[in-house]
Amino acid sequence: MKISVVTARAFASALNAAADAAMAKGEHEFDLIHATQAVDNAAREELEQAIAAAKAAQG
Amino acid sequence: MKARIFAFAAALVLSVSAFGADSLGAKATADSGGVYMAASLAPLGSFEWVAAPRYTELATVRHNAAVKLRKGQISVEQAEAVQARADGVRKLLDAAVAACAQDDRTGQCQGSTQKASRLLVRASTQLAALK
Repeated sequence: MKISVVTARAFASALNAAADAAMAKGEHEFDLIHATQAVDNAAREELEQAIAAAKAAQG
Repeated sequence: MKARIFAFAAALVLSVSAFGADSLGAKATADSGGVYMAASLAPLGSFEWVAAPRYTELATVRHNAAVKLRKGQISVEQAEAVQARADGVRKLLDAAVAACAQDDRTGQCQGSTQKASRLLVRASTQLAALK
């Protein structure tokens, strides 16, 4: 299975963030799928906001 | 031959050390410093480990589209099209994960099922076309 460098970094970053969040809550494990779904949710929101801003700029 | 076996064993030991106990399904406890095995942890190579990077890949596609839109490199219509197609891929990914969890005997999607694999292949194909 090949994975692009960009995806690998995004994936590693998502895992690190989820691990940090879990540790902050005193937990020692987290849901892998939920963690990566949350990353996509955030990216979806980012694109949605960029679209809204571009539309607003167009008037 | 013995040298080859020894080299392989050494490489195996080194790779296990490099990945750490977590990658083998073990977790170190912060308070005791000890190690315990948890059967509920997703083993490397399981369906979840194959599906999870697809979500971050999808997030990367959306993020790149947002960046290009802010730089004026793509139009609003193109960005909306990316968002719509990404949503379609996301639905397939979610369906694949749900199918795996539903069909898997453990209920934790630790093995790949036919339906889940089929959905994941469709999602990956559409995702590749989106990039």
